[in-house]
Amino acid sequence: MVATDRLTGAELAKVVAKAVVILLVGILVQTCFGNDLRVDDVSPDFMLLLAVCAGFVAGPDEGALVGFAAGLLSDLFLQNTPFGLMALAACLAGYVVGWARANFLRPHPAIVPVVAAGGTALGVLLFVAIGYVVGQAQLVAPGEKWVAQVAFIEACYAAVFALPAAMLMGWALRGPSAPPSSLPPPMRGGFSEFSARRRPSTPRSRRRRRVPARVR
Amino acid sequence: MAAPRRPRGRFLLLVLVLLGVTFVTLSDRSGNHGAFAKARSYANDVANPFQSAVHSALEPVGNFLYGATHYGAELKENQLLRQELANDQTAPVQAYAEQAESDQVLAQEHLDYLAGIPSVAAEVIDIGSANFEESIEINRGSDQGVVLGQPVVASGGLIGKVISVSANLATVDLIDDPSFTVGVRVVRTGVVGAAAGLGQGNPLQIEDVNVGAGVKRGDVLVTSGLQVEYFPPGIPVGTVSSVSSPPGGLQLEITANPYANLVNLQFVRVLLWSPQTG
Repeated sequence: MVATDRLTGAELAKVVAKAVVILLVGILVQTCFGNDLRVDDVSPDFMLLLAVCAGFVAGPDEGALVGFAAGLLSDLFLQNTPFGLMALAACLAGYVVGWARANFLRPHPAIVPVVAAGGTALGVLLFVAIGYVVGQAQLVAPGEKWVAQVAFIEACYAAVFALPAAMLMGWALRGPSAPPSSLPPPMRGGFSEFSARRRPSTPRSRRRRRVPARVR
Repeated sequence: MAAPRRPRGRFLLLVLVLLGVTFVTLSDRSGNHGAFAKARSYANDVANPFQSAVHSALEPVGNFLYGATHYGAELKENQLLRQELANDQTAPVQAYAEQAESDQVLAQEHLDYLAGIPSVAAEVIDIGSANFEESIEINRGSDQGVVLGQPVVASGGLIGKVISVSANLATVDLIDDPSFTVGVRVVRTGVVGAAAGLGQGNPLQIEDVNVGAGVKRGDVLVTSGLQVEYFPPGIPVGTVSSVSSPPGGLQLEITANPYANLVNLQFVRVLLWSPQTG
């Protein structure tokens, strides 16, 4: 967890600067490479992947923030959908992945591709669903099969590029006191330390004890 | 004692969502003329040099992936090309490719529907990388007289309209994009309707044609050029590929194949025409 609220001004500026650089490189990669990497007419979405990875390595707040910024950059290069639609979808996808990571996902590198694939597919579906709600009926005009195809292929691409993307976001979003490893270390208990801190177990003294009925 | 849960996370998410909804609303209301459209135009200008450089360097990778995913079609095309080559062994392949390119440009020069309408030729420099949009980028912009909404044609007919313009670049929304709609007229009968895109590889859907209009498979469709249209009349759009009448329905279900080959566009022509100036 980044815990940006504990960083000094200079450290926070450094984290923000690194994240901005990665997002700018990401949008260049997306606009320059994306079209050349089309599989079955579907190109990968590196910005959505960065948002999902930010949520996974840093938590829901950072996932939402990075997702919103990444989505805004993506929106600059979309023409037929309103500005801000991708920002909404990526923000929610980053937040959901961060929330899941904080509550029940093991922070192990092996699950990064799975989480990236799931988060990216969720982002695509959110983009289409929110777009449809705000009147962008053209997003579903080619049919559900096309939407499913885009979500599936983008998810596959996300799984392939998940580890480098997670390492990049880990490098960018971790504060100076963080361990050198780019991903959080696996926990022994099976739940993240974030989860343990946020959901403390109920003290024994406050639990209701089952009192046996008195028998006269 | 457990630390109190910070409300920051949900508050931050709420703020971001509200900000996003505000952007969406403002952008939707301002359409292609607001500040967001200008920002998009500038972003394209900034990214274009990088895109061109990387695109030319990475073209082999893209070709490899395209070949891998379209193996069957590529195999058929290869066989066809081999057959053509065997028929005319004397023609050098390079000369053939150059001739094809110049033919494509010349074919546009002699399109009869361009008579009287000033136009500017443009080269396709990039294809949109978004998955829910069918668009191309051309190397002509406002400096060459291109403005928003102008129709774009290729040798086969209408291919789209300009949706974003900067000084030396423009983005063209292709006719098969699901957001694209154009008024069409059946040449044989004069019946009018609206053609809408359904995504890449799908035929156009012709709407608003009543049952009993007498539309047949193979009918030619051209732009209707009615008063509220953004396109001049008579530009070829496509041919009707299927007509069916749903039981109890009032309107025909019609699909049409576009005339222009939207997959391998190299040169296009922007018609410097607007509904006001004609």
